[in-house]
Amino acid sequence: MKRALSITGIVWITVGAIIALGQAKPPIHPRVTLTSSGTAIKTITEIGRRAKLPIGIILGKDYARLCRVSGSFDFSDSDARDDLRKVAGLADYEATEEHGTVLLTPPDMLPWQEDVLNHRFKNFRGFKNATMADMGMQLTGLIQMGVGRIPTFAYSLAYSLNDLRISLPPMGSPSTEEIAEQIVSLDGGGIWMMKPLVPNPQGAKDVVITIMSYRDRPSASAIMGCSPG
Amino acid sequence: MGIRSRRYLIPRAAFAGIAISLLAVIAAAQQPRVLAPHDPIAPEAKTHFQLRSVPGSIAGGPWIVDAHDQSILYLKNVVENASITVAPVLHLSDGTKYQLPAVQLAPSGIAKVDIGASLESMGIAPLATLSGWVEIQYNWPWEPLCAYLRVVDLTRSMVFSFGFSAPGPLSSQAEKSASQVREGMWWKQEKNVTGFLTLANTTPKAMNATVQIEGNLGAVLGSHTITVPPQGMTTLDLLELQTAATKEGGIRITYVGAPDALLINGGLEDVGVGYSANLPFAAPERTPPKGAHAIIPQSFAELGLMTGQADPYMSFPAGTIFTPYSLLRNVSLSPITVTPALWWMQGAAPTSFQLPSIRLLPSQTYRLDMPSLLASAGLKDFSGSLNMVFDTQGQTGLLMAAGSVDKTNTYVFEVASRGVVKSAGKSLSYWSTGNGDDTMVTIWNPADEEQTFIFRLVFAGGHYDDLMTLGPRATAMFDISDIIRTAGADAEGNIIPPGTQEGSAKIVGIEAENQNILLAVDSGIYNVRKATCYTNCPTCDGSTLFSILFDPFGVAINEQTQESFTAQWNTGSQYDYTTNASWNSSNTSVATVQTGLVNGISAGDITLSAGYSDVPLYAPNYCAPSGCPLFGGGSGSAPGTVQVPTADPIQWDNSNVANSCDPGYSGWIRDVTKQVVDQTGAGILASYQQMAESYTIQSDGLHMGNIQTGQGSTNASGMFGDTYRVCSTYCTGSATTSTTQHPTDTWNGQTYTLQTNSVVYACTSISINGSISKPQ
Repeated sequence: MKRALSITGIVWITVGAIIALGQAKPPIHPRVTLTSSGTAIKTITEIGRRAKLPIGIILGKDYARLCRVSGSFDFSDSDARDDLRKVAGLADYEATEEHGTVLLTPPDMLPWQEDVLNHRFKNFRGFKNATMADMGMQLTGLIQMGVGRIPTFAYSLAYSLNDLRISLPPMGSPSTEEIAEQIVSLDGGGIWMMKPLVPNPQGAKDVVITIMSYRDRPSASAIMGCSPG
Repeated sequence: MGIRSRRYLIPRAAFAGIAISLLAVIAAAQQPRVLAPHDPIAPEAKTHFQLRSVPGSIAGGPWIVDAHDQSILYLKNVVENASITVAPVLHLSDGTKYQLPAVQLAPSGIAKVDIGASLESMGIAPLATLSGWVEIQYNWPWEPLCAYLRVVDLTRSMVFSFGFSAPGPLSSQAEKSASQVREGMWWKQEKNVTGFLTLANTTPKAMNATVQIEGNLGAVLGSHTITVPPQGMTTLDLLELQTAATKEGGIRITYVGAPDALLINGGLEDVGVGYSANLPFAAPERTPPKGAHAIIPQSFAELGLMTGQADPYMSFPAGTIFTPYSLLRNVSLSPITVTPALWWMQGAAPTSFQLPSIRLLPSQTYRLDMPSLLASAGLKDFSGSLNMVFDTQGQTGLLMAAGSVDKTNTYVFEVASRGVVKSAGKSLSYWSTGNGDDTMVTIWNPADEEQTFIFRLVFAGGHYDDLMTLGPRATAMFDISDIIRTAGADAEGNIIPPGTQEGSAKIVGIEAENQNILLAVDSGIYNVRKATCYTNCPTCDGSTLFSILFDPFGVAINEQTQESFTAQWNTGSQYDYTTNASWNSSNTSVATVQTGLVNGISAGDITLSAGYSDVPLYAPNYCAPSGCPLFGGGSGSAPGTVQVPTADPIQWDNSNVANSCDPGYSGWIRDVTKQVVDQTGAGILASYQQMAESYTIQSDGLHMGNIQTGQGSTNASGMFGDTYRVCSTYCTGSATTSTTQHPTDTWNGQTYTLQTNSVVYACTSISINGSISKPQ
């Protein structure tokens, strides 16, 4: 599923239909200048925002790992992917690239998490006129109902009226990960995070996909936190 | 501002070689030191408050049209950043009304309306003398124009100019029924001078007035009862002047009505020699606007009095010799003592001579013996111009008239008395250098410090700035044609286009138009060939309105919000007096305020007020022989609430439809817009309030187990969206899940727990606080 991230050679896999709708086209080698101190997740978020680089993050068994590891970082016109790898590496995360999205995988990813990410949805109907955060919620619903087989899925999502509304077209039978990658590759880019719903998650019914758009003005620390839920 | 440096230290008029009395220097040395204003200058406001145009009008006159007389209406737009459209209305003496075509005035633009030609265009040929008054209607937040009427008889070298005033709304009944007294003054330059008086009624009802002509000590020479028709005008010939034993005296007019209900004007004339002068009248008593105070001058200046041989630059016939005149009338009920002083330029040095004090009894009119006074000052053979300055020590009730007349009484240069008070910029509504005209400007620096001003000539399509530095007590006299003739490019590269012959002018401090300065200025448009000279009314620029920016305002408890106190300037700019103003909170246990920064202490309502006393108020069309600005200072207030985010009620539904769930599921989606409101239900109009929510489930018929939530922030209206979705396999019956939504609002680092919402999820509806939909 994953391929080791190459700093110098990056293969972009594109989906024509998505590009036509305004898929983010980050620079081939986005560079950032950044001085940051704090948790790894905070710095990762800031690098992504500045480089407009689509990112996927999986919180593993030790879901607080990225929020516990801290450090001071001083990047000066450096390659954003390289920076991500360095920061994630402090928490023993592996940085790979999938379909233009930098995927940060924890060392303690659970087998069922991988199953969830690889689960394919037949006749995926896409998402219409929704914010990225709402798409994350809807994707969570697909996982919890389609994989976790929960009887009812409900959510209540506060959002900013200025948030950008976008659409993701139907796809053949995409996996969870592919859907998430496509979402964060839309207008302006973003970050998706697979996190537990409860402290001791048991499977797909306990999974949440949270998505933050770089173009919207979220409280990044709140959305991209490591706490369950 | 663009500046081309020019030091105006030496008056253009040459002085004859005369000996200056040592007394003059001593007298000058004894005068108290007068400082130029050094008040802080408010910056331009970054955020402008909104204005609402209101209908208004100004009225003036008389106009006279006949075989000899031509009447021209001069209009000047005092607004520099917007065009205005005004509608002149002619009122004939019998009350008949004619609406003239609207006149559009460009920013700072001028326009002239020939009243005779306008009447002719409406088929009204003035076979006999037609006269009346003019009303000019506008729709603007403040009085946006300066206007005056010039009545000229070129064949007989007669000219009068009449200003305008705002009659204002007929307000209270008490004001309508108040007894008004208007005081004027007459004098006879020579024995054949007679006079006329016009009373224009601006109200829709006939008005009675009593006119009393008095001698120089108040003895009644004649009395007339006049009825002025509704919106008409009555002219009274002052026949008493022909037989009066005294050469000067007073005019007292009494009527019942609002202060400006009657427009009172008049003139002195001797048609035989072409003598004409305006009758001066004291301005109606005016009440300072709320928060303002009356500005009472300590002294008055009559600028540019000419004496001796005419300045050769002015092209008068050889042998033209001028004599100044100056008259005072005490229109108060108490004696007034004034101390006059003469100021003139001895080379580049301002020089003064203090004259004996004059005590005026009530109703006394006094003509100064100028030849004797000049002789006492050592100026018997002096040729040039000088200023007469009256120290009044703040006493009020003095009416003044002054000017210069040649020995044939044909050339009359009237000079208005100007109160010496600090002001912002002053504007001259019109200047002309065409058709033999020229415009003489006299500026006096009354301070014992050097001051630098910008004299701005405004003309069609542009302006030109000239820098003027006046030493302590120095006077500058110049003709506009001098500037035009010698002007190159100013500091901004502005030039005066060839052929420019008319426009307006303003004089402001070098730092900004709202800089307080201390100067006296006068101007006259003269035409030697036609033997006419007339003045026009200056406008004292200043504030027209004050506002506290956020009105009403809200501030969160334990939070701060920055208010600002802004003044609307008559020129169109807005200035931020936040740091200058004194601020007050009506209840400091609810909120405190310092330099406009409001601190929310506890939930509740307060009134915030701000005021500043050193800002001059706009004084338009101020032709009365007195000073301007009339008033200074202003204040504003705004109600406010120390707000505590309390609830997030739904404002409207964005969508409320069935949800397209996966096969086997069905459900509902409801998307709403909410607003954060305070304890009073008022919206908290602040962006970036971070909204979050959590849930507790009371009964879970749909087997949800939990409800996912997300976060969003408010926009500037305190609004945010909230999307509720449910998909369930338990939709066969009428199962519902009843929940309590716990919203929180994190604002400026503090989290507020809002009122909970009851949310009931079903497969065919989502009910929020008992309502399944909110009407659009």
